[in-house]
Amino acid sequence: MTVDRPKPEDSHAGLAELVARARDGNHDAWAEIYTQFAPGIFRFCRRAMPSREDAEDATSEVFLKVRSKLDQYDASRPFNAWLYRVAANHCWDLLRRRRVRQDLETGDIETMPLEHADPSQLEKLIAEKSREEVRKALEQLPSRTRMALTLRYYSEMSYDEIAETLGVRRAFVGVLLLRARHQLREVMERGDAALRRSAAGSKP
Amino acid sequence: MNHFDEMTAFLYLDGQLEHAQASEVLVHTKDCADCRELLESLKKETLWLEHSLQEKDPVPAQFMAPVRRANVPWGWVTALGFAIAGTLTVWNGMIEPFEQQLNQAGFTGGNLMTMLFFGGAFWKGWSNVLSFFGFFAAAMFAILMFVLLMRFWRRGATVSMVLASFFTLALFFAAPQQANAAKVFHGTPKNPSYELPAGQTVNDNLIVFGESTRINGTVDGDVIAFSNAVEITGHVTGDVISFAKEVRIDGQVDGNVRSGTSTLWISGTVGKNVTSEGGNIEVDSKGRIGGEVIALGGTVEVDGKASRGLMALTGDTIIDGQIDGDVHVRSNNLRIGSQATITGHTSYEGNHQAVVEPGANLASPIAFTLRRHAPNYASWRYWWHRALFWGAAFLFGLVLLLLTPGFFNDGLRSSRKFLPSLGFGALFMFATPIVAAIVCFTIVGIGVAITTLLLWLIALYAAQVFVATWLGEILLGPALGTGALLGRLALGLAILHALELIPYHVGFLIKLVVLWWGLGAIVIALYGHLRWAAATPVPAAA
Repeated sequence: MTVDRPKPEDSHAGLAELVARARDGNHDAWAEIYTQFAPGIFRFCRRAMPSREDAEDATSEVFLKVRSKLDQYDASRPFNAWLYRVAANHCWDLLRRRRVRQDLETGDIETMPLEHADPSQLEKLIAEKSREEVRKALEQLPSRTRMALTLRYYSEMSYDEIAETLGVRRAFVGVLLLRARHQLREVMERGDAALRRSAAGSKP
Repeated sequence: MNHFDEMTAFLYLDGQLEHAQASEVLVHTKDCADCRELLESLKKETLWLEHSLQEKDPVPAQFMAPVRRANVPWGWVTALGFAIAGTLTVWNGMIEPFEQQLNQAGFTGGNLMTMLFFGGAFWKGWSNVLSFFGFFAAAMFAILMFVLLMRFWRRGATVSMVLASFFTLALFFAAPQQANAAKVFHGTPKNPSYELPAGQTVNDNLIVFGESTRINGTVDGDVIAFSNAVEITGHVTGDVISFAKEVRIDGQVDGNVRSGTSTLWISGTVGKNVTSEGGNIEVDSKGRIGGEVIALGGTVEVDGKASRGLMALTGDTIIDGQIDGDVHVRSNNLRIGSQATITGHTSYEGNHQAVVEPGANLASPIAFTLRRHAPNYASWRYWWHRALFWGAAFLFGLVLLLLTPGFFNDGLRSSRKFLPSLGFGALFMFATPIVAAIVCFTIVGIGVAITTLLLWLIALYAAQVFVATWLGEILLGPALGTGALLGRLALGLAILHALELIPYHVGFLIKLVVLWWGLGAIVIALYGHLRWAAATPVPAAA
């Protein structure tokens, strides 16, 4: 599988030097960083945000933010991890700020019953649905659910990082993720309306 | 053990279970096909999600490369609008007629350019002369300042824009008024030349654009003439400033005579100094100069009288008259004729001994210095000068680095691309003056050309800074931080300056390569800078 999203092994001395130069105000270096990371960051935002327009705005804002925050970057840590962290925090900030009512934001996810997965049905789903349909379904999920899935399966963040980014207890991350996968399955099987119903029904 | 639930299976796959619990799952899975199936399908789902989310779906163009969002740079648009409107206004109202006159007078822009640059007269009486085309230099300057302000105070773009606009508007109103502060003659096809008949008087400054200028009467003020030929047989109470092919002064000028001409002939009286650039200057035996004669270029011959000495930086110098005061000559040759009298001190630096004919009357012997073509390595003064040059270049680099660290880094970066830099450098080194000269054929272009040439000169000087820093980085490794960069600059400059001392043209060749290389690096960096400035959103709300 080829993923354009930079892996940790990319963050070698070359990248560090590039970042150092960009921090000193070198436009070429900054342009190179932009070219290297913007597509990945855009895809991240696209997964994390509900619409394409939101993702485009978020990507531009992330790079403005990164540019002005470059001097706060600790060069001893991998740059791409830091960059994705900034992007994740920014997107999460945006989402929280315009929290929508039907979103499952609060802790009630914890209380929602986890239906036991039917492996054969899951396999059928995997076989039938295209990757694009998965991404489409992702758009319909509530912010935090979508964010959790993106952090885990796009950015490949650890449970600790996800907990820190989303501001939840670490022990809750697993629940959040599995619950998110259930919601995704539901959306894929029965469409958006089913999710709304299940979410509404679970509220006390 | 019972079947484990999906949560446990999920956490197990994610490696989030305690060791003991994980072992239990592992053991149970061996015997339980159902749970194995659950684990398998969950694992598949994880991969499925990763593939789906990480798939390279299309990305909008603006995130493939640094391209500006559709964000209109209002500051630039406004400035451009002002510049275009201003140019058109002035072009129609002033420049076009002015240029026609000038062309009739036999001047093309190229000629004028030469005179402007090499004519010291330009700086005298500039309030009159400058009002026409200096307006554009000023406008260029205003635009330049505006651009600089924009760069430095991005958020204050509106303020600087308004200031620049006011400045530009003020210039509009100021320019024509200045131009009217003198009597101006424009030649026409029917009446191409100006002549002030004997007995008539002009009680004002006189500016003439025409085929020829003849002053037989009296001008109570300055005469500024753009003509092929200028002849003054009458009386001028002020200065005579001329850009002409030939200037003859047979009459009386109470002030200074300044000219950028090919021939200046004085057989009359000049009250103050005579300054001439380019071509030949001859003070006839009847000529009387109240001040000093300053001659640059060509040949100077003084057969008449100069009351305050002579300074000549010329090809040949001939003195066969009376000079009261000191004589300083730097020429290939100096001849002092038999009629010559020099009451002051005479110093001469040249390629040959001065020829002094018998009968010449010199108050003191000629202090002769044979012009040296090789530097005097034994002299401490020479090394002191080298150190000063080094210091100046370093200071320049320091200022450049502190003022525009981004550009400095860009220049340094592009200087690593040796061949492209060298190529661009060579191209721009020769092309810039040529383009400037071509641009000068329109009067409007003069401001542009002057600005361009000045920038070009600065860039030529700055070239060594980038190459030197590059050299320093090669020797000491990449610099992180300003201090380290300055150290590399200092070292590199020292080495470059030392290398340039190598004799037999090697030093010269090194200098040339450094010039091209550094200039090319600057050009590439500037290009990148401009492209980038136009291609990224300005972080206004960072």
